[in-house]
Order: sequence, then structure tokens, then C-alpha cells
Amino acid sequence: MSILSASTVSRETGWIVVCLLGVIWVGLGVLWGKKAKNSEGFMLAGRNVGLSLGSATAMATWVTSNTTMLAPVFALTLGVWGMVAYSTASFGLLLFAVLAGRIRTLMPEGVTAGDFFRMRYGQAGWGIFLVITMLYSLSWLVSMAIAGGDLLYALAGIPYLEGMSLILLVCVLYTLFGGLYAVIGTDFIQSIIILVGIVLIGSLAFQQVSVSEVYEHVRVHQPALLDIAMPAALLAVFNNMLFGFGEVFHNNVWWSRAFAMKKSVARKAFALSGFLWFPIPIAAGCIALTAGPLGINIADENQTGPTVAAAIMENAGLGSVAGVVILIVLFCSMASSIDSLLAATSDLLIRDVQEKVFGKKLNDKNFRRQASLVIISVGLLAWLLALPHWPIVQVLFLSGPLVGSLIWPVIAGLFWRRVNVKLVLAGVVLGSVIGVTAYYMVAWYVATLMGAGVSMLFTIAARLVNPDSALASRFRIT
Amino acid sequence: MGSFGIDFSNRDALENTVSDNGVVTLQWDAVAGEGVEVEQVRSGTNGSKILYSGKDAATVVTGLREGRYSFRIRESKAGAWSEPVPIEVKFVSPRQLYSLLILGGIVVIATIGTIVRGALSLSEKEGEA
Repeated sequence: MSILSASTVSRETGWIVVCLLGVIWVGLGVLWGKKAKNSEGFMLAGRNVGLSLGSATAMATWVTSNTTMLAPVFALTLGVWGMVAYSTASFGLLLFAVLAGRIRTLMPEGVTAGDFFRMRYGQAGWGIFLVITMLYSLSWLVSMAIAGGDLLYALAGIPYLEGMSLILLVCVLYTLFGGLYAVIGTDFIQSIIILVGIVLIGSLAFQQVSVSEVYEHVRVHQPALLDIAMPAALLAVFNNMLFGFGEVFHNNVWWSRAFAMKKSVARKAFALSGFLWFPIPIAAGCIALTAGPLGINIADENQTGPTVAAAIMENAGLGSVAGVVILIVLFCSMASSIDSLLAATSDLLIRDVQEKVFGKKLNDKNFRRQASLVIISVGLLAWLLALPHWPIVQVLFLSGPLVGSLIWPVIAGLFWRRVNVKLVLAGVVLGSVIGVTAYYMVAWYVATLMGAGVSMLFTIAARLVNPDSALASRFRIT
Repeated sequence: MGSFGIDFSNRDALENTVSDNGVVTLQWDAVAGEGVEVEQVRSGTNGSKILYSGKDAATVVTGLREGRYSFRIRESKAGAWSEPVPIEVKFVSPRQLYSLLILGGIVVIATIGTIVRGALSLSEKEGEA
């Protein structure tokens, strides 16, 4: 890993930083976990999360390593539209603000997104949802663990297996002890650290090169990045936006937060998190565009962010601390997503699989033991899948059309009283198949668009062709 | 390997791939000493430019417009150039682009519109109640 050699920290320093962060997060997890007196406290933080914690947790969860690592790649490869494309993922949070209010009204006692799909689309719809969401959640979780292992190796020379195991272990431990209380609390601190890191590196970058110099360099040497009609970049805007809609609208990570927030703040918190998140990919992307004028060579596009950040800090005379700062920021961005996925996926497995499939109703006494077992099992499964270092991030990208095909069923389920359930579900399946086919036959940047488009047509048709209100009546839709 | 020493290690892949987004990754085996120089030429022009000079073993080229380009590499500033590797950048056709953009616009507007309409109609009902 020569690309970051100028600023890599020693293996000892890397271990110290990561272990220190781990001790802090686990300590806070234990402390905040004491608030969880029953299952609702553990899974939904007592349904009492306020505006500041609510918006911070939503924003931090959405600032994944994909944001800090992939947003610079989008800027470097797709230019101005690429930055905009990545930022449109915030529209998912903004629109979910509207949906969150409706979710809280329709399902005041709801616990997971699975509850919604089962009540609205029956067992078949719930089964399709479970398959899609588990595929998506696990691929997201495992790709984060792999990215964590890669990062610790690149920055500190910690072997992949040790680094990947360490980041998963830390997240499993504090989620285990603290449940959603710990996840939301640590997310708040992590989001502040991430923002400070991006602002610091951005400020240093533009002290070293002016905006006009960046523009002039890109205009001369990377002209397509400024082209208003660059096809891949333009199509990425719609594709990324719809991918973001699909991810947020269906996944239990967001539904559990909607259920955890006080009803009066859910809308405001998601809207605020969307506005706060919007500039982050643009800031991270702008940093990447300074690479050319600053003479920074990008040898691996997937390492654009850390490479540029390290060089900028080196130029500013902060070489000795550059690796530590980057390590802390990226570790926080990964941990803030891994913990949320662990908690939300475990909730789904306990509530939807254990209670609904196997009919094991859990009381508060044995809930905590079962929850611990499930969190450990999910962590172990993620570890096993991350072990061979397969390119699982490709599975995550491939899940775009699958989650995209769930956008319209969620909207219809929340706002329309009567739909033809079979037609809606046929749209989800066909949209997924056509979207995945487009991924391979056309390009990645049209896959989610195709999946969402096909599902939209079927869902609209489902409102007109033999709509059935039987399922809606269970749901008190008026 | 080309006939003059250092060459792009991913030459075969580069020659057989058309870039649809103007991005090309050039890779070679790292060398000691002063490192390498990589040069870019756009077909149909006389202009060339040094893209990279240093000791890394790869460089990512982005922002290329449609067209044919060639790249060559040499070890240190006095070494012999490798044979140029030709690269084609070809975006999706305008017809396909505009069809997909129209589809994207319709899906996104319909999605946002349906959510906003649903929320507004509910707030009206709540107001009436």
C-alpha cells in the first residue's frame, strides 16, 4: 500500500488509536445501556429520542464509509454532476421526513419495517421484503467490515483479518451492551467528529489551492468533469437519488429511528438530517478535485479520499498527525453505520423471524438474552462473510434495483387505501429482475432507475386494476 | 511487456475495453530509481502531455471526453518509450441518454409528487376533522 505511505501511522499507533476509540464506544455503550429497562428501551430507545439526537443519528448513519470514501470517487470520476449525484441521497432523508410522520400515525406501536410489509402486503409481501432487506443489509454490513479492515491495513499496516475483526468486535460490544441508546448516542459524537474532520481537511485544501486554480486545472486536463451533458454523470444523478430513496424508505435502520423518535420530532429530525447531510458529499468531493492542481497522484480510485486528505495534511506540515486524523474520521464513519445495521438487522430477526416465523413470543426477561444472541450471531455472520475478502461491495451496488423496486410499495402502502397486492408484488419482483439485468447489460448507473420505474408502473396499475382494501383495513388507512 | 522494457501491466485489458465514463486506470510494475513517466496523446492532435512522473505503480486518468487516446510509459526521463496503448472513450448514445433521462425525470417527479400529494391530502383531511 504505497499510496498512503507519506502519512501512514505506525502499527502500534494504529492499534492504540483504534483500541482507545473502542474503549470509549464500549464504555459509553455500557453506560447508556443502563437506560434500557425493557425490550422497547433496548430496541427503540424508549420511543423518546429528541430532535438533536434524532437528527444526528440519522445523519451519522447516512455518513457511511461509502460517503467518505465514495463521494470523492464520484467527484473525481464524474465531476460536478457526480458530487450532485451523491448528494441527492439526502433527498431520501428529506422525503422520509414526510413518511416518518405518516408511519408514526399509522403504526403508533410499530417496531420494525417488517411489521408494515406484513400488515400491508401479507405473508408473500413480507417474505419478498425480508429477502431483499436481508440481502441489502448484510451486504452493507459486510462491505463496511471489509472497508474497515482495508482501511486499518492501508493506514496503519494492521493485517486485514485483525483490523476487520477489531472494528466488528467494537461495534458488536457496544451495540450488545447499549442497544439503540448506545447506537444513537455514539452516532451523535461520531457525526460531530466526521464533520470536524471534513471541515478541517477542506479548509486546509483551499488554503493550498484556490477555487479558480482548481477550475482551470479541471477545464484543461479533465474537461469532461465540467461538461453539462456528461452521460454517465447525468444518469448517475437519477440512479443515485432513487437508490437513496429505496435504501431509506424500506430499511429497518430508518424505520427503527422513526419509531424511536418522539412523534412530534420525527419529521423535523429527518428533515434536519437531510439538510445537514446534503453538503457533506459535496465537501468531500471538492477535496478530491484539488488532487490535480496539487499534483497528487491517484493510483487507486477507491482510495481517492484518504490519499488526497493525507497529501493535503502533509503539505500543511501535519504529516505526523494526518494518518491519525484520517483514521479517526473514517473509523467513526464506519462504526456509525455498522452499529446501526447490527441493531436494526437484529431487531428485524428477533421481531420478524423469531416471533412471527417461529411464534416465540419473548417477554422482557428473556428478550435481552435473545437480543444478545442475535446481535452476536449477526456480527459473527458478518465476520465470516468478510473473512474471504470477497468483493461484497458489488452485491451492495447490485442491490440498488432491488431496494429501488420497494420505493413505490412503501409509498402506496402508506398513502393509498386500496391496491391490488399481487400486482404490486409482481412489480417488485419484475423490477428487481429487469434492474439487475440492466446493471449487467447497460451500466450500473441505470440499474436502480429501471427497477424503480418498472415497480412504479405496476404499483400505479395496482391502484386501478381490481384494488383490494382487505389488507388496508388492518392498517387503519383512511 | 512491450519491446522497450517497462510497459503497462494491464495493457490487454486497456486495449479490449471501451471506457463509457472517461475514466482509465493505467498500471505498471513499480521501478526503483527515478520512477516512470506516463504520457497521453489524443488521436488527431499533435499535442501530448506528461500525465504522471514519479514512483507510484498506477495512475487514474479521469475527465476524458469521447475520442481515441493513446498512452505510453518510460522508465526515468531518459528511457525509451513503450509502445502506445490505444484507449477509446465512448459514452452512451444521445438517443439512449435522452430516453433514460426522460424516464429518470418521470420516475423521480412522480415519486416526489405522490409523496407530497399524499401528505398534503392527509393534512387537509386532518384540518377538516
